Amino acid sequence: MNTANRTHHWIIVGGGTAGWMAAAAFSAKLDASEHRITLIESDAIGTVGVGEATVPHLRYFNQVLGIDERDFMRETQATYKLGIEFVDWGHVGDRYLHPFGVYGEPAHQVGFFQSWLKARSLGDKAPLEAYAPGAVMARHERFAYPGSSAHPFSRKYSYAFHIDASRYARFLRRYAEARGVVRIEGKVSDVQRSSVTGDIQQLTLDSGERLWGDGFIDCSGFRAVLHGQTLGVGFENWSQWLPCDRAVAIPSASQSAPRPYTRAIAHAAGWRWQIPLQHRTGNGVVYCSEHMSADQATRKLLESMDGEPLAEPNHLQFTTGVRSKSWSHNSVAIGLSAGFLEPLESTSIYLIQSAIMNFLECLPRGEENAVEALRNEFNRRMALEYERVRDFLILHYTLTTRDDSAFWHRMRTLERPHSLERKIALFREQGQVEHYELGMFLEPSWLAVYEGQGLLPERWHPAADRAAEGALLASLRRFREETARWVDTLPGHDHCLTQLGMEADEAPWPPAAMSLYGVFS
Amino acid sequence: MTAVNSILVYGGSLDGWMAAALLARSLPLTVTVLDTQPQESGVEATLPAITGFHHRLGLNERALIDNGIATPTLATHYRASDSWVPFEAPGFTLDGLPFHHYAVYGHLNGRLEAAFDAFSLPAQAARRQRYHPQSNDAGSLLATLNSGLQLDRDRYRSVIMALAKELGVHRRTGALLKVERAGDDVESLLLEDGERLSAELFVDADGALMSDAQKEQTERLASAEGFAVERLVAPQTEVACPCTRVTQREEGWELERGTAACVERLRLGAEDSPSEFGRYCPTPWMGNTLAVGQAAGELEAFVTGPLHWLQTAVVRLLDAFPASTDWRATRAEYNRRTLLEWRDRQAFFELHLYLAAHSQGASDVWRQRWHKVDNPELLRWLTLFQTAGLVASRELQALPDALRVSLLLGHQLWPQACDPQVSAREPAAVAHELAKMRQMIDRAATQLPPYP
Repeated sequence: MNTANRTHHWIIVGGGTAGWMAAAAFSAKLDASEHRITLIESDAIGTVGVGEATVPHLRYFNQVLGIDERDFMRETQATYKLGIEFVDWGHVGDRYLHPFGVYGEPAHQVGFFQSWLKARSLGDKAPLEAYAPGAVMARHERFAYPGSSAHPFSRKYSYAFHIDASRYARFLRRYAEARGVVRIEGKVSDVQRSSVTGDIQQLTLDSGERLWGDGFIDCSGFRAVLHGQTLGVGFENWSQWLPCDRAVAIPSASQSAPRPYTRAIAHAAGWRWQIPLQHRTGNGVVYCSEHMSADQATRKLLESMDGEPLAEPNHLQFTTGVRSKSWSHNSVAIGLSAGFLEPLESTSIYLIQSAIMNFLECLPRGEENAVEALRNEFNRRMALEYERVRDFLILHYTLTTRDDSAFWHRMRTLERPHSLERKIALFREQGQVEHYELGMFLEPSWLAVYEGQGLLPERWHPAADRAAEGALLASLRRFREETARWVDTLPGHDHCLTQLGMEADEAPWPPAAMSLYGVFS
Repeated sequence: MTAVNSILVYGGSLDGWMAAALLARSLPLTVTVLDTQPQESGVEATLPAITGFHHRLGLNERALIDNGIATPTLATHYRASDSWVPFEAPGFTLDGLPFHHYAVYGHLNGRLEAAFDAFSLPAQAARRQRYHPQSNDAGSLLATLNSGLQLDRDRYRSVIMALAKELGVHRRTGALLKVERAGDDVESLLLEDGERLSAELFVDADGALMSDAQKEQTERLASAEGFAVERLVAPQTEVACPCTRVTQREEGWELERGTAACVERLRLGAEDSPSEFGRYCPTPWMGNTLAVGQAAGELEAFVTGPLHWLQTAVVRLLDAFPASTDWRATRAEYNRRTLLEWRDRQAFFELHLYLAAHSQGASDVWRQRWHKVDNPELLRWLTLFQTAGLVASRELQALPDALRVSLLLGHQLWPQACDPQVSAREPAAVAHELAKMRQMIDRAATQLPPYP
């Protein structure tokens, strides 16, 4: 990328969530006198738009862009989201919530989970989620902003949204266009590269128009027009661990008040999602084509929907894995062109956001050796990001005890990546979650899945033995009861959504952070 | 599978007593120290994390300072470059971008008009021999006064020993005759008086319990070759400073720390006899024996001393303390994390070789030493910072990157570019912001009370 002292032209290939998030962020953060941004998209190419369930980090993205959260919610028909419910994953009939928040109170300088393990051995079988105020709120379909009361529970959770992703893209399009981004309707028909450096120089559109650019952002989805078709960047296939390769999605009419959480319900050959928006519900079945046909999947989806279907089934095909480099030559892949991980933990939009924010930090500058170093750094960050999400997703499958279908037998017995095997062995021994700092899923998330799917160590940290047994049991019971009582004082989720349109609703939304667990905790 | 009910700490040094005190404070177990009664003197330098350890121990840090056992450290003074390196990054984040980008931009435009440490209150306080305890009020400038301690080793050891005893640690004296082993495990320690001491877990703060396998695995850092340590302790002749000092010599360094009573000068000089410097054991926990502190590895880290690494080791053990000797995964994780910490310490040492090799008029000796450094991770970090001004993202930093940035900029090793979001700004506007910030810090520093 030429970083000489003149206007730098960025060309984003593809609209959709990734393209418009990138365009909006670039237009907000880059000086217009030095950076020109063009986005090419075609109305003839549909967007995937599966990333409808988000994680709290998206609030930070909106905050950086100075977006009014209420406007955003109205425009995207958003509902609040406090976590994800997993049904039938450990075994048929079980359910647990992975909340955006933390559990209980640490005591005697060990984490709450150790006290919980000890209490469990003494006969208190209350699930871990009973100690997460966010999870209890979700179960009772309540909502309030974190930090909105002085109560300590108010600081133990965070929230995200269920959104209409195509409306979010349209919302960001207006934002970006107002800040100078130029949208061109068209399809890329030819790409011209430098014969010397291999860099991309020029795109030809189906209209015949030619566009010269300095840097290119490939947001063309699965087609990966630049990264795959042009640059031939290698793809690391992860389907040996995550073999689901198809999905079918249908929106349906809402039948009841939207729940403030996403649902992921396992079935014989994969799982299905339910994402409640204000005006409709998003539904989809993710499945492994070796174990289920498209017809079977569509039938399963239609049978499971409680409202009228609002559109024809949208069939998707994918291979789980990542490009070996997200940034190659002068082109950066963001979104599905960079890799695909099934949306089991709502990571699609997060991975787009992470790529955009990391790229802004690693923006080309200096001499060629600087650009090389920045490119390596960006690729290293993104590789770690994808790999850690991957391991966390595999965890959901590999911890199952289900053996009721060929698919689950395969998932239960698959050979885990070494990095995951080590984490599970460590947890099995004494409930310790391998410590790391980068990546989106940290200790509370790992605990949620380990416990939710029934993997529990037989022993606990000896410091948990410092509490007298009676006092320990009483303190846990008190925490649970207080949580339930406090949640009972909060307004219903439905009520909070109706308040969104009201002029009188002046309470500011809380600050956001790049964390799954909250700004305050 | 045997429950862990007792720990035996071998070695009565500060390391041993500190380990025993932390373990006894945190666990409902029997902790015994076999006190070998080593003579210790001199001054120990620590990072600000010491405050957390003291809090964990229930020890009153103010009293240590007031009694002259401890002297606070606000910064490390690198004399050759006359730069003062605080523990935290100087300046403030502006518009979500780290401060150093603004300083780099100012430098590239020739409008910085001050050293990097001019933007750090602790550095400016140390330079002026002033001190104030850190404020808890996050909005206050005084909240940046993050400090470590310089500790009078002998007197501090007495305090820790007394505390350990209060916490129920048993003290046993006697000379070790033989370590009785079964495979990788230590079965018992046979003392000269005929008694045998045994425990489920042995914590070796001396090195005497290391097995042959551990000794065989022990390595010496290639980049530390050519260095030996010489420790000189003398009575304090001046007032103690709220800083430690690093002086670069022709072929080595001199690290100086002091309290009201004594001064320690640690010379890292050319080696003329076999040296322990740079030695480390990649599997400090083997069988039922865990080597900690200087028994596990020795490498001077300039801004801190060995006590800090003893403390992180014990806290790492405590974080996942095993309830039973079925501890295979826990032990592997402990060793993995310890090795990561060691690699970070190694990189910090090697960064100093880089600084020395790139200082003005550096001798061939320094340049050759730097050329011998084979550390791709550090080189990648340095290349990214020096060419583009970006700090590579890293986790589990044993020595925070803020130190690396302060060291490089303090030694005038400026990046060739900074974040484009900063360089898009009007140079005069950025220069104005920087001047304002510097004046505010300067004013605050002169208003602090003198130390002591």
